Amino acid sequence: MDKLLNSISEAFKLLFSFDSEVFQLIGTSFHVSLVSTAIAALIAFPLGIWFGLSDFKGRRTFDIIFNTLLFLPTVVVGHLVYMFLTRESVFGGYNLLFTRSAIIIGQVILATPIILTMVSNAVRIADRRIITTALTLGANRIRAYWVLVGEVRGMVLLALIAGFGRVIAEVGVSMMLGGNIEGKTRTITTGIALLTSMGEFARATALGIVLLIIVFGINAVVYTATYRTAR
Amino acid sequence: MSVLEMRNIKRVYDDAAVLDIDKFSLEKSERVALVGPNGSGKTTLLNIAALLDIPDSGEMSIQNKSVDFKKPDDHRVNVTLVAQEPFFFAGSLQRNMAFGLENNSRGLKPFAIQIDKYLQMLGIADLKKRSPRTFSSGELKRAAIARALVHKTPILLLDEPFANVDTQSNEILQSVIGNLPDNQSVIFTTHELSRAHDIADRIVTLQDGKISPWTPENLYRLKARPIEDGWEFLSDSGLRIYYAGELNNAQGKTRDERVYTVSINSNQVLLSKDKIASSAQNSFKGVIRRIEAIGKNLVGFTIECSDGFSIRASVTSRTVKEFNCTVGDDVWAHFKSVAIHVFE
Repeated sequence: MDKLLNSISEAFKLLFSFDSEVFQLIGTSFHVSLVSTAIAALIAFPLGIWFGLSDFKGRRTFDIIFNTLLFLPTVVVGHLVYMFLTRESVFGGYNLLFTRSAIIIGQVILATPIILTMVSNAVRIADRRIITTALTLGANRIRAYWVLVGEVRGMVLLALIAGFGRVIAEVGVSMMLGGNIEGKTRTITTGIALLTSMGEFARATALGIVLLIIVFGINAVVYTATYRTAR
Repeated sequence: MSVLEMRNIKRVYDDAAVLDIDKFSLEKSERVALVGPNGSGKTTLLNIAALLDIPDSGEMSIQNKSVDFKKPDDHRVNVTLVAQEPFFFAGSLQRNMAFGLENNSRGLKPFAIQIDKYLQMLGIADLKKRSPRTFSSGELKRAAIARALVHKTPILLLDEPFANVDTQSNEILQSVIGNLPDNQSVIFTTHELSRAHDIADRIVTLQDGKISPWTPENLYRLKARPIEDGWEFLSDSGLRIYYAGELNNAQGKTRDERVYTVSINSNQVLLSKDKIASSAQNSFKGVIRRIEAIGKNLVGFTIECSDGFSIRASVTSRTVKEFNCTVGDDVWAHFKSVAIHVFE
């Protein structure tokens, strides 16, 4: 119990003393996770909207595949991407292994199925009158789809948060593809793993709490904004 | 000039034709009421006219331009549809009103006056800052029609504008629809035939997806009782109507009294000042409660008979002059058994 209390006070000390090492980890984590969530969203949005609206044969198979991908273990993704990025492999020439770009590639693979599934579900259960109303009031098809996404923006934001939550909290991809290089690819989570293995429990817990506080802040902002605009 | 024309339009769902129309047209400034039972294809017709649904076969022209169903966006700008249960986007009524207008310009400002004009016309100006998701059903209908009117499309389609609406909203809607500018043509669907007569220049009846030659007016729910040479329809108030036709679903002439929906064609209701000997089997004494013009040469009479039973008769304007009757006068209404249509 004492250890936990110590960690909590340590966490706040770390946050408010602007400890440069901690902020570097936070910076790296946010950099890779925000970029990977953004890229995943670019892929998942159009596909998710299309999936949600269309009723083609075999869509159920796609649904099952994407639902399975939600459970992808991070180390499996890390391992698979690793195989493609080693020097001897297809993309070896790009020297991506143990860079932030490598982490981003892995995280995009993790976040895309989540965002895609959630966006497609949001679109599927959305009121179809959104589209017909938009069309009859002078919108073209593309605009009508955008209006639909706008109407379910609360769910879309939740999808983004879920995707972001998955990648900021993961350790397998960051560790295997980033290599936990201090000042370059060390993230909050790989930092925690390292500190724990070094026996620095208080600092490790503190970093965990820092991560939670930041994610709580993001959620608070997004939920408040969504609640305000969705009425 | 026709603003909308449909030829051989057919729409099939699950192997059954829900709409099968040889010819339908809407003239400039015309107000057409589309009537018919549930499932008769009214909404499908409106959705096709609004290019929200694509027919399986047939041709359509809007503003004398043949419609390419592969490019519905190009033609849809001429048509606005107000659905039976209109949808409103998140945000205020004002924002909803501006939807589609801001396509052509930046911001709301250039349209504020237009928007206010229609909100006032429908008596909902004080609601403009509120979200339509908090409105009553009457307010929703008015808001949806205001939102459609601001687009000023040559064709306006209204699906059941008077259904589930309070009296005040109904009066406002009726006056707005009845007083639209001449460059707008309207098709509206309704279950209330009296309202169709009040507003429409023409009534079109749909039955099983097809345009039907008769109008389901003078609708009654009546018990049927077999008599020696046919059937007798009885109302709760004791009114008796003789019907010589067959009632198929009655499973033979049992003593069971069955309830049917019955319609009497108003064109086949004859009026006379005195009781006359005629070949019509059904004659009722009543008072003229209402006289109104139906189109150019027809006049509708509503006769209230002694036992609370009302019947409409359509008479040519010429006959009316000779007939010389006014509201409150006593008359006799007569109709033959063949004027009765039984819904089975």
